[in-house]
Formats: sequence, structure tokens, C-alpha cells
Amino acid sequence: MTQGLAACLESPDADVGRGTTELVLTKFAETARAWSQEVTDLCCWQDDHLLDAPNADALERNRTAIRHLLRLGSLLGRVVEDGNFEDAPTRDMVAATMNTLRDMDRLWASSPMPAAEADAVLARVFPNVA
Amino acid sequence: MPCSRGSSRMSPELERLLWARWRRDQACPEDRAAADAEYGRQLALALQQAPRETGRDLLLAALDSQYLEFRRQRRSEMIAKVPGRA
Repeated sequence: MTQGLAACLESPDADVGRGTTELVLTKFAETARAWSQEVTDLCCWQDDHLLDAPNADALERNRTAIRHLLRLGSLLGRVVEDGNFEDAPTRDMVAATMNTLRDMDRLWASSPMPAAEADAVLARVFPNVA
Repeated sequence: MPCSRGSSRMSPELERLLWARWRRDQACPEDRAAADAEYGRQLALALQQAPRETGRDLLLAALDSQYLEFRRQRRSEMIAKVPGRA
């Protein structure tokens, strides 16, 4: 349970700084979680709209969404990387979501490696077949 | 061949790596950090056994190509499990 600043100021025993900090950081964690959920939802949308013969409009909308989410993630990342930010689960979630988005950006923004070339690379790295 | 395009079978190490990435991408926010860490471990293992000329960027580009096919397969399997959509 968090208290707002005004309530803390009215209470002589309240820790004014702590109450405000908890309120803001709780809202921040909720915001970061909502952003991460948007990335999961985008992944599901891609599965439904882009895996089989996607049209150009859908591909462009997807790229726009990824860029938008990356910009938001960059802002969130500046907060969680601050030395005073102590919410480790939120920090780890933001970092993992940014990794997901960077992979997503490369996957959909660039021209895919031709299948034969990709298979040749993977055959060198994974030579053992079950 | 290491992958599942056509009739060839996929290497178990490659399959683990693709599954780890798929789970990370599909994860809910609370599970994403652990899923990302597991994908990072699998990717590091793959890079350790890769020839020197196969750097991280080249491996990721090759994986992207395979990953789309992997996602198509997962999606087809999920649709097949839904009554009336098979």
C-alpha cells in the first residue's frame, strides 16, 4: 500500500520521500509490465498476420509497432539502469523485453538470409543430427 | 543437414535454441527474464561450438531464417489442436 505525497505531508510520522517514491515506482513497474505485455501481444499478432504471405501494409505496420516499442523501451531502460533503481525484477524484465524487441527488429526489418545459405551456416554450428 | 526444412531432421541443439527463443518471445512479462536468460545460455553454447568464421551476427541471421519456419510449425500445431480449425 502506498501513500501520496499530500497524505504523507499531513502525517508527522510519515516518511515523505519514501511514500512518494513507492507510489511512483509502483506505477512505473505497472507501466513497464504493460509495455512488456504489448511485445508478447505483438508476437501473437505477427503469428496471425505475417507468417504466411504477409502483405506490405501489415509488414509496415509491424515495423512501426516495433520501432514504437523500442523507443518506449529505451525510455524505460534509462530509469531501470539508474544506480538508485532497486526493483530488480522490473529491471530484468525490461532488459529481457529489449532483447526480445531487438531480435524482433532484426527478424522483420532486414532481408532474410536465403534458406540455403542459412542452412549452410547452421550445418557448421550444429553438425549433429538426431 | 541441421534443420527441418524439407524432410531432413533438426539437430537437438538447434531445436533447443529455437524453442528457447520461441518461449522467450511468447512469455508473459513475469516469465520473460528467466526465458531470456535460458535463450542467452543456449545461444552462448551454440557460439562456443561454432567455427571461428561464424560470428554472432552471422549465426543470428541464419537463425532468423530458421526461426520463421519454426514459428510457422508451432502455429500450425496450435491451430490443429483447436476443435473446428484443423
